[in-house]
Amino acid sequence: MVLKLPSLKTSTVPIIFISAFHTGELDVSKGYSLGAVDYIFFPFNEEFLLAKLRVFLDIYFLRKKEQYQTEQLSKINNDLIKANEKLEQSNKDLEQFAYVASHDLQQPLRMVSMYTQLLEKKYSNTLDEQAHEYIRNAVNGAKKMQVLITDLLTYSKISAKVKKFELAEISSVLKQTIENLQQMVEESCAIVTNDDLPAVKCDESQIVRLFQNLISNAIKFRKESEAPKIHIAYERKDGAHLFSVRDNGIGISPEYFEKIFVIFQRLDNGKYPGTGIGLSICKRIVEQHQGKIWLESKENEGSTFYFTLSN
Amino acid sequence: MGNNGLYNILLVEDDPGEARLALEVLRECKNLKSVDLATDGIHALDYLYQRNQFKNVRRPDLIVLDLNLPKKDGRQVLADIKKNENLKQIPVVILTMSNNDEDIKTAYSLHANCYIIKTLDFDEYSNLLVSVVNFWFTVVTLPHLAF
Repeated sequence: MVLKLPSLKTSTVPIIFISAFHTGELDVSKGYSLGAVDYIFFPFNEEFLLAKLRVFLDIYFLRKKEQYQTEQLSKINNDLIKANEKLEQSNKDLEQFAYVASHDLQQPLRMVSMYTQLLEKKYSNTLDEQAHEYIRNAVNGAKKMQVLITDLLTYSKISAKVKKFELAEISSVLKQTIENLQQMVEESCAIVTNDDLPAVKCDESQIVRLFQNLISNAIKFRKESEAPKIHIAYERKDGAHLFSVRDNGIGISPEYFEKIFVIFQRLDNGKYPGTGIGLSICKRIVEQHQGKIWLESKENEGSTFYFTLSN
Repeated sequence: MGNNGLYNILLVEDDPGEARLALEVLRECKNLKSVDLATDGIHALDYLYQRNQFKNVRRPDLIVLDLNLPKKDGRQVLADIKKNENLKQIPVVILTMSNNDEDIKTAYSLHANCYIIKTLDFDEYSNLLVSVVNFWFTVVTLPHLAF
């Protein structure tokens, strides 16, 4: 009996031994142990052999097909892993870039602002009213840019630093938020109410910021005719936590529902203070918690912002 | 303490605009005799150890240190100062644009005496710097030490 160990390529090819001499039990078991699928003795029944061959070949091709599919799947999987790694890296690079750029932008900006102010101070007697106005415009511009840079920095920090998620009582998160917004709430006579709120695994400081941005928007974009009423609702939906922040403010026309989440997009032409980054920060925070954020609103009839946090 | 109860400051600042501005503001401080400028970390340490071109400089009574410096970083300069038995008695004021939590933590871990953040408003910045320097030069008692 001449036998070689099967190569990888042919290892799955079914082999049937047929022998007229080696018919002992030992021979048979040796044949099987070498990888044969069957061992038959001579003489044999032709129909019987053909039937066996059919069965073995069926199994063989089925296996081949399975093997091919597994290979394809693992190839696709590998490609996906690689693409994901690339994406993660480019995301990191972008965040790093935004962070460094914002830091490096602050220094020259400070020089512009400080020296115009120094100019105004030192030469205040020799400058006429128009010169003072020019200087004020320059200083205001620099200050506005400073706020933009700070916001950009905040935005890039959100995903640059992923903290460990810990269980937090959303009711105390909300309490903290209202405390942070105390002045704004008092000045606008806003009434903030809420449903029973759960404990959720999250980055607590980020969720404070999320509520803070949504509630301060609700107050900022209030109707002139009535005090803001804001309600925070909660329900479990499809295995996730669904929160909503409903207000009685000026509302948003549906055509802007997507646009408002884009960074630095503003709808009001400077009527309201802000840089237009708040909702894009909200979106990022929610996405960091594997959730979604969206809104329902009608002009003049208030808005409701919904977001989910994964369980 | 310098002559006549007056004090010396070593300002470590790489940006000429920032340095000029700080000098302008520091003029308002009480009991101040002079401000010397080091424009990078190596210079700062050469000055403090009286090396190279700084053989005959005075010992500063206060160090105002920027964090981000070329050549030798402000954090390294701070660590070096606070490891030296003599130099570590000089109060170090960190004056920086960075409001980064890590930077603040690092500075205090390295025994910075205080950490102040530069603002964009001239009066605010001026008040901040002057009141901190006045604190060291008029409120507290500093050690009598020579190089």
